[in-house]
Amino acid sequence: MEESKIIKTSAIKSFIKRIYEYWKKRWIRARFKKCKSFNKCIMYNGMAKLSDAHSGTYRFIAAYCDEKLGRRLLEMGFVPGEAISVLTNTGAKGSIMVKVKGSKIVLSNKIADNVLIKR
Amino acid sequence: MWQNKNIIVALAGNPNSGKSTIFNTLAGANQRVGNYPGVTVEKKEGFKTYKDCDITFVDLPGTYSLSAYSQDEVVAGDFLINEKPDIIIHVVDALNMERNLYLFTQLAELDIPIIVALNMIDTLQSQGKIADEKVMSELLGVPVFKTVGSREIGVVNILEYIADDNVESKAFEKIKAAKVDYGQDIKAEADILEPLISKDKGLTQLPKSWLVMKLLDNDPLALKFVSKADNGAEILAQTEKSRNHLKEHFGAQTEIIITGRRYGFANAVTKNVLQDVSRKKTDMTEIIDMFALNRYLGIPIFAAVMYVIFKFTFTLSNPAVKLFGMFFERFGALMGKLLPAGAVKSLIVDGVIGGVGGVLSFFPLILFMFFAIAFFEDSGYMARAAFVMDKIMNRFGLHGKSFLPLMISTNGCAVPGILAARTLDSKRDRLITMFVTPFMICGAKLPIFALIIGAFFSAKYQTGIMFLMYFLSVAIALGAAKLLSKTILRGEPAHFVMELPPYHMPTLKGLLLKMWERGWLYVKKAGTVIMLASILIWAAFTYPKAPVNENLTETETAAIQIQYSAAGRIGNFIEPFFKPIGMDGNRAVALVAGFAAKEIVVSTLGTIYSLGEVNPEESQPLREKIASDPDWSPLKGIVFLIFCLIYIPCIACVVVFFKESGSSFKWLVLLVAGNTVFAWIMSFIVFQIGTLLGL
Repeated sequence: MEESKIIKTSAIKSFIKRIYEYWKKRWIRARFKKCKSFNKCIMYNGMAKLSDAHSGTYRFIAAYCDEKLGRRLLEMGFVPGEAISVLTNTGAKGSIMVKVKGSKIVLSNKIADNVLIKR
Repeated sequence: MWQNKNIIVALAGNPNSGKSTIFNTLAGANQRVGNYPGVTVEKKEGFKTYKDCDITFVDLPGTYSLSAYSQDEVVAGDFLINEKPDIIIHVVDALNMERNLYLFTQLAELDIPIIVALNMIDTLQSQGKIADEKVMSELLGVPVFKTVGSREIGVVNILEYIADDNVESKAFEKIKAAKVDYGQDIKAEADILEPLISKDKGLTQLPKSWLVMKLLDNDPLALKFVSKADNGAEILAQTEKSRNHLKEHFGAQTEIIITGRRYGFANAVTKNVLQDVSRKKTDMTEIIDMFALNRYLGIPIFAAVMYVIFKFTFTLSNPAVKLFGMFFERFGALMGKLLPAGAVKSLIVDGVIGGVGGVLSFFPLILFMFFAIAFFEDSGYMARAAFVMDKIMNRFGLHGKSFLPLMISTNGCAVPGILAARTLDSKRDRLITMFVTPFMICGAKLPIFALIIGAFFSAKYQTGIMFLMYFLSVAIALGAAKLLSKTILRGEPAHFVMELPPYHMPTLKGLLLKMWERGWLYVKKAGTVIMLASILIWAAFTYPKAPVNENLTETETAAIQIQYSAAGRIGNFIEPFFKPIGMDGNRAVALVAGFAAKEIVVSTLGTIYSLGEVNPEESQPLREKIASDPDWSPLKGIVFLIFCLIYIPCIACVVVFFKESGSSFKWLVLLVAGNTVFAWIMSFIVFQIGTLLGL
């Protein structure tokens, strides 16, 4: 009776552990893939989208959006050639925090999608 | 120049540059707040007499530039160009000098004397840097004053400088702000445009260099001015030609080149002015952000902050609310004694004093809430909160900041909740948030839930059911938000580009002023309407009068009066509609009464159920009466609660919603009718399924 209980709990534990490890691996792999594709994109095209960027310092090339937003980005300091350091990127549907001209700026993912950067 | 010594001073600066703090120090308490005509941007004016100088301070909205793309910028630009203030005080955040000086490059082109207030010097020093104001003054060509707005250091010097300017010396006129050198190519095009502009009389009134640069910059405001001129077509053609030429020459849009040049100027000035003296000490902002914006800790910290705001709003304001309530009760009783019995007395005591009391009982609540919100806004946390919550709220078509109104509404009150939706910038997000805020279980709905759940469920299940109800309310609110964002208010939550300002301690004076302005605006805007509405509701419950029957007790008379009044008749009239969701006339009347305020549902039920009692001394509690009534059942109780949860919010809430949604009847009708229909459908589904299952 006692033994079967122990076996049961250990089975559940190992099952949970396996699920956890599976998802962790998946998550790491997806992240690695994303970073790799981003790095490749920068390597071969010389530029990439800001929304895909992982943390690091890049240079701003251009923003493709309507005039109003483009002007606003310009005013915030997104001038071609300006250094942008990406601090955090919460991925799709999230937002991305960058440091431009010494101040932190948050862009939603939709906007960052239209911003091109290079190394 | 100013014989009458009446000087208009405009304060310009970036958002979060500490402009309002300096404005409060300069102008003191003598302020006037209004709106600029036609827009929702706040207009703040302050008056001060200093050394026989009448000075009018105008606090312009915080802007990054003077282009005409956001409402704030349009207002600021319009004021500077049309009203022509005598002098501009440009508040520059020393921590963020480059971006702040970008605005300076545009202000300089307006040909208005400028004084620079270099603000937040103390924080700069704590970061191990010093600013040389002499170099800065030389480079910019304007006087520069170091200030610490939060501790009122250095602000007096500015005041002194303005007041000292007398008719003989005319110090202002000597100020010549340095303009950006845009380089040969742009200057050549500007030289072609300038003579064309000087031909027109109207255009010569405007600052010339500003107009030329704005034309090359393709600014809508400048284009509007020019199109009105006699030779407008000629100028526009030349502008187009110049822009195309520059685009060909540089291989980029002219506005990008111009912005680049301006930033180049700002960068050069910043590099010359700022010097590192010691190693950088730890930056508080970085340390706080490490926790507040952490992937895992961010949301718990956000929840804690929201809880603090909630506690502050409701717990600390409690004594004030009670005091107000007691005062109005006493006052009503006093008036009741003084006035002769009759319709007038009833109107004044129940209608007017009750109505005013209703409005003002919210007042301390709202003041406390605005104070808490102002604190977190001014300290710089609110912008971060939006960042933290954005991903979660985006799934439901809401904005990150929508969380605060919902939080305040839960167990609190939807009225300050709807007012708190002001922190949202886009109209669509604000509307959705205001729409779903009343779905939460507010403090006034709680007694209904306590009554019904207490009547039908044993103590073991009560907490569980209550929790389920909370869950249901959140689910309904988020579901409704999703539904709205998919149908009527289609679109994405506003894409945002926003700056996360460094943290700093807000000043008490600034917070109190902000709190008072917003609170007073609420009383002015919503107060009158709420009062009128409560008088109307009072009338609906008092007229027509029931025939007087001397044999009945007081509560019985009250109960008969409810059935006899207009509201009671409406309730009985709509009873057939309530049959399919398992409700009788009594509950319909109570629900109609609930429009006045949700806690009235319980008291109306109490009055109705006291009807026909033989001995009022032996009356059972309402809870037991409902539990023993054959017409109620647990299922009917739950349906009643679901209906209460969703249907039309109370009158105060509706009025505030109406005012905050820009007085549009479309949204009002949607709120009133939509919610009631939605509530009916939900209750119908639950009731019918429940009956089928035989509950």
